[in-house]
Amino acid sequence: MNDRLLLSCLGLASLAAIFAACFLGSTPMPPGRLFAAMVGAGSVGDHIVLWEIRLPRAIAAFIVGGALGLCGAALQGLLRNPLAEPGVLGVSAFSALGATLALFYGAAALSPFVLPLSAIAGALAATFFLAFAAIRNSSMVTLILIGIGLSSFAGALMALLLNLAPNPFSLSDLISWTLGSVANRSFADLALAGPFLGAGLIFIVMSGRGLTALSLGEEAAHGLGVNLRRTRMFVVIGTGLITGAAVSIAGAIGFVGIVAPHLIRPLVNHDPARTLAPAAFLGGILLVLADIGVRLIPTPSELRLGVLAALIGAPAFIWIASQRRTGS
Amino acid sequence: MVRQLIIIGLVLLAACAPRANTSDKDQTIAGRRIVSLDYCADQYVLKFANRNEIAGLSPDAEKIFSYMREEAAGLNKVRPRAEDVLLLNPDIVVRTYGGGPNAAAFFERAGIEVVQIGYAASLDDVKTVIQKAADDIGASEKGRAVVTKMETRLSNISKNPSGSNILYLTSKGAVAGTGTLIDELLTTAGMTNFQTRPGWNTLSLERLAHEQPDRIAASFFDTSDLVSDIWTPARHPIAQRQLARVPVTELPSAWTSCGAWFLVDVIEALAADQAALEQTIQ
Repeated sequence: MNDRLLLSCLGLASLAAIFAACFLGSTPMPPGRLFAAMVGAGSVGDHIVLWEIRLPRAIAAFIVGGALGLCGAALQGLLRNPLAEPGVLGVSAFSALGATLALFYGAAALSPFVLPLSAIAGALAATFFLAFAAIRNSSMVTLILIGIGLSSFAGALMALLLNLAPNPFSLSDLISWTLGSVANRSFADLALAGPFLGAGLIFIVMSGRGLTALSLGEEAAHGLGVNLRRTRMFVVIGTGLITGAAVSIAGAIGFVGIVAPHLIRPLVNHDPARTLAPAAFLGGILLVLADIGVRLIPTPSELRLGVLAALIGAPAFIWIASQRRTGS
Repeated sequence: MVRQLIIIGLVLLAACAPRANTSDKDQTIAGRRIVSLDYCADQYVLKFANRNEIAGLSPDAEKIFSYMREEAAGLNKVRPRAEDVLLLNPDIVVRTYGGGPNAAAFFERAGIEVVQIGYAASLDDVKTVIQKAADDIGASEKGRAVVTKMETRLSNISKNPSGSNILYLTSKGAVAGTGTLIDELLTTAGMTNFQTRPGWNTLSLERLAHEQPDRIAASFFDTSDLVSDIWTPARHPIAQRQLARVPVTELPSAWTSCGAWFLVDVIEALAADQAALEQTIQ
């Protein structure tokens, strides 16, 4: 499929998904009223509901989904493994752990930037460890197992923090980081994560050519004049920055980074570089749709976005894993 | 059988153990020993037991959300673990939820009297719970005095005839609707609850975008260093604007963290703030 056409279709679908998400909320707002609020002609209340509640939430879901889709595509290209993804490899879990540590010890109160920086530090620690393991061990299965081990370790450390929760009030707050949500997010929250997302995006874009060359094998890539070390470093730093920023917005949300690139890959001839942008768009769309689902499913208390993403994504992960022919 | 042996073993261990290392050690040996398992129970123990009878309070007894935290200073603190509690040789264990669901049965099997503080769903319940707790702790007279004082203070509160509405909002974004004990506090203070949906719910930002309460009762905001939920709706710009724009009565967490006599402090504060506001308007 033509890249421009694919991106145009995904761009339109993204706008449609975000627009659809704006219809949902406790205030009944028919299309006319929503349009009026959009152009500033409606009541002040409607304007606030749209621009300060619904739109930031929908955009937060899109950005987080896009970030995870992009990171999934980049990690899969780097590790040449369709199961690589920030959630599966423990990057999201370490990022959530970093953020939780900052909250637990009160460091998050020092500056608004401490929280995203802590989440990014956690994500970078995990991605560097994975990159190091990938250099030492070329087995894809081993790498996934290391990632699952990392994820379990982060889970254990998180459980330790919950165990040591200083008072009855903070326990549920700490748990919320593992469940993931974009409810009550404001544009200020997004702005805080914005610089880190932007920086990470630059690193990933700069690694695109290297990822395409890597799909031919390390020797071929080297023969094409690609600096593999630089490519690895760019992907590791880029995914660390982006995943950390995404987690600082929404907590740990898994599996989006597997599903989105998997659906896109056949449309771009399995070219890792060409997968990046469409996977980001599709990841964003999927998470906006999941967030719509969260609000539509009639449960006593609103379902958490990360829970729904895992309920859909985990079976998809199993399916993709079972489709693989070789285990090396 | 094994369970019974474990209990017997723990009791024997407790009997062999030295007395707790408290500042009131000498006086405590002579009298009965009371241990409280959670911060709600702490309030009742501190109110109704003699100080030299208190062998242990919960680790939260001096936290900001504990009403009697000043009285708790200097007293022994114990985690609500069976072995730790048994080591203090208590005659009475007081609890609301501390020690987990099996705690009461465990301590009773170990021959320790368990005072279970009841749940209060209304102000009348609160009075009943207070009196029963005082009776069980052996301080009926003190209990009657507390209830009488509570009734006197309640009767002195002049209700606001205008019936202004008020939103009870916690730092975690929880709001109290009709049918809750908090709702009764608001109406007893002469106000109407802004939150008409029954029970406890999460703050609706969309409703706040369209409507504004006359007053906000902001509770638990003094525990912000203990609460790490940065995504609570209470910190959303819409809620923050309302908190800045609307008259706010700040309620210390210690006043509402347990259903006890100090709930009257909430009613008095709300009524006083409303009266002051109306006086300013006039």
